[in-house]
Amino acid sequence: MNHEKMREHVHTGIDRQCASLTSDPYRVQRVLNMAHEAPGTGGFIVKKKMSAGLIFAIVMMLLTVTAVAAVLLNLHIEKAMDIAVDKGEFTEWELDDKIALINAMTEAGIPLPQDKLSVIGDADSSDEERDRAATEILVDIYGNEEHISHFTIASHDWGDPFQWTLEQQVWFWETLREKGLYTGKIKYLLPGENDLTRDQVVRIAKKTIQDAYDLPEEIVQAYDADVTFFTIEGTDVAPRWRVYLGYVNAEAAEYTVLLTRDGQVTEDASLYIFKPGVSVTSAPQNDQPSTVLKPYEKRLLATEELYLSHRNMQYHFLSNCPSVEAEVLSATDNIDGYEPCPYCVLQTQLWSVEDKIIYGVMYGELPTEAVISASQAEQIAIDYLLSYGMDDIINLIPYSRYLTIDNQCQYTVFFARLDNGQIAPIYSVIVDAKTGKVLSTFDPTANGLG
Amino acid sequence: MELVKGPTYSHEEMLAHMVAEYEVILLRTCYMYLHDKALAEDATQETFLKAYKALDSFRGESSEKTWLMRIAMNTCRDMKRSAWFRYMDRSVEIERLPLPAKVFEFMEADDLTQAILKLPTKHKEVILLHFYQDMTMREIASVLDISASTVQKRVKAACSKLKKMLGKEDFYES
Repeated sequence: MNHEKMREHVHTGIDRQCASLTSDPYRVQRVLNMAHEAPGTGGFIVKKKMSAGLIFAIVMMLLTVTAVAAVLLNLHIEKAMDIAVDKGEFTEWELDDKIALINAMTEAGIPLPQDKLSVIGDADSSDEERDRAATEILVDIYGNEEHISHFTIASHDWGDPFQWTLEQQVWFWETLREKGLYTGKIKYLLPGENDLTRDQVVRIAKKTIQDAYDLPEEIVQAYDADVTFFTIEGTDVAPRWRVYLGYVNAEAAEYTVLLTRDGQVTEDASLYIFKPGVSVTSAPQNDQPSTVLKPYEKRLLATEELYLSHRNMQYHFLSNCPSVEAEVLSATDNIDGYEPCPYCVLQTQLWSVEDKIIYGVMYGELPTEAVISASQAEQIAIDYLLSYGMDDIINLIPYSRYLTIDNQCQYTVFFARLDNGQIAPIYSVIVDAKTGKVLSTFDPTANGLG
Repeated sequence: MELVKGPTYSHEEMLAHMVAEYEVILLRTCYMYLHDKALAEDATQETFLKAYKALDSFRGESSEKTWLMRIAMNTCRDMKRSAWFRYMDRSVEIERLPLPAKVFEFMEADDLTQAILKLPTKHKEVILLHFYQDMTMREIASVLDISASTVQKRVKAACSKLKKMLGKEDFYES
C-alpha cells in the first residue's frame, strides 16, 4: 500500500465511521456566546500595578516565615482557581496574576529560586523581564505553560489525583464547584465519625476481590487503592464508597469495588459469572496498557453473563484465577496475531442512566424530576418512528441517554440491534425532555428523517 | 484557504471562517482521540473558543491549521488527564455512533479505523495528523512540540503496529 492509498483509507474509514459527527450550525454563535460570557475575554483587565519594591518586600518577608498553618497549604491552589475564574487559562494571565500566585506559593511554604525572585522584585527590571522571570518560576515547577492550571498545580504538589486523600478530593472538587469551575455530578464527601475509615474500606475491597477471584494474597496486597466517598449531586442517592484497585503494572487487571456506607459490597460490583469450558493458552501479543475496565456483575439482557472487552484482562482472569472457567461466547475482535476475544463487550449502553454515572461510565447525566422519564422518552420515540411506518424498530433494542445542551434537556433514544454481541445503533431520535416533542431523528441509511 | 490577517477581517469573521473550514475534521479528529462524542464536541468547541480568544496573539508563524491542531491536541490531552477520564471505559464508544451499513469496498478502511483507535496515544496522534489531517512531519512536529525525526519514528512505529494488527503483508511502509 502506498502513501496515497493509506491516506485514502484513513480518510474513508474515519469519515464513514464518524459520519454522524457533522457541523453544528450554531457553532460560531456558541463560541461567541461563551467568549463573551467568560470573564476577562472582552479585553484584558488592567489591575493597578504593585510597586516592584513592595512585591519584593512581601516576597522576602514571606520567605522568612517558618511556621505555615495547614490551612495555607492550599492557598496557592485556590489562588490559581481564582485567577482561572477571572482570566481563564495560564496563557491569558498577566504579570500581576503570576506574581499573585507566586506570593501564594511562598505563603504555602514552597521554596522558590532567589535569583528569579530578585528579578521580579528589582525596581530596575522591566515588566517583560519580570514577566519572564515569573513565568520561568512557574514553568520550572509546574511544566509547560500551556498546561499550568489549578489541576496541574494540585497534581504536582499533592501527587497523582487518584492517590489524593479524601480531604484533598473534597476540598479540591467542592472548592472548584463553589467557584463555578466544576459542574460534575459526582459530589465528594468526607466520612463522618461513625463511618468506616479509608483503611477499613480498602481492606474490605481487597478481601472481596481476593475471595471473588481466588487471588493470592501477595498479589492483592500489591495493589494501590484510590478511594472515593461520594454521592450524586442533586439526588438522594445514598453516600457510598468506591475503591479502585490498580497501579500494579500496565498488564495487571484493575478492579473497582462499590460499597455501601456501612461497608457492604454492592451486588453490582461483586462477582463475575463465567460459563464453563474455555482455556486460553498464551498471553495476548498486545503491548498496549490495559484499558480501564472495571469488573461489574450486570444482568444484561436477562442473561446474567459478564462481558469483558480487553484481552489483557481476560488473560489475567483466566491465568490468575484458577477457580474461573469460561467459554468462548463469540470472537468479537479476532484480529490476526491476537487470541480470539472470548467474551463480548460490556454493554454499558444498556445500563440505566443512574448506573452509568454511579459506576463511572459517565455517559449522560441524571434526569431531573422536572422532566419525562427515560422510558417515556423511549415510548415517544417508538411512537414517532412507527408513525412513519418504520415497523422494523419493534425488533430493535431501545436505550437512551439524557443530556442538557445549551439549557435544553433532551433524551437521545437509540434503536440498536445486537450484531455478534455488539450493540449496533440503527436509528436515533432526540426528544425534548420537558415537552416530549421530537426534536430530530437520525437514520444513516436515509440521511435523516426529520 | 488561509486567513490573511488584516483590517478587513473582524475576529467574528475569522472565527466563522475557521469553523467553516475546520469544524468537521477537527470534530472527527477529537473523536478519534477521545472516543467519546460528547467530549469530542466539547473539545472542538473549546478549541475554537481558545483560538478566538487568542487570535490577537496568532502571529502566523505556523499555518492556521497547524495552530488550530496544536490547540486541539492540547485540549484533548487536558481532557484525557482530567480526573474522571480514566474511570471511563471507552472501548465501545465508537459502536455508539450510528454507522452506515458495512459495504464490502469499505471494510478495509473500517478495519483500519478500528485499528487506529487501538493505538497508544502517541502513535494515534501522528497517524491522525499525518494521514487524516494531511500534515507534513515538520508541521506535526510543530503541533506536538517534538522533533521531526521523532515524528518520523513514531509514524514508522505506528504503521508497524497497524500492520501487525491488521495482518496485512502489503501494508503501508513509511
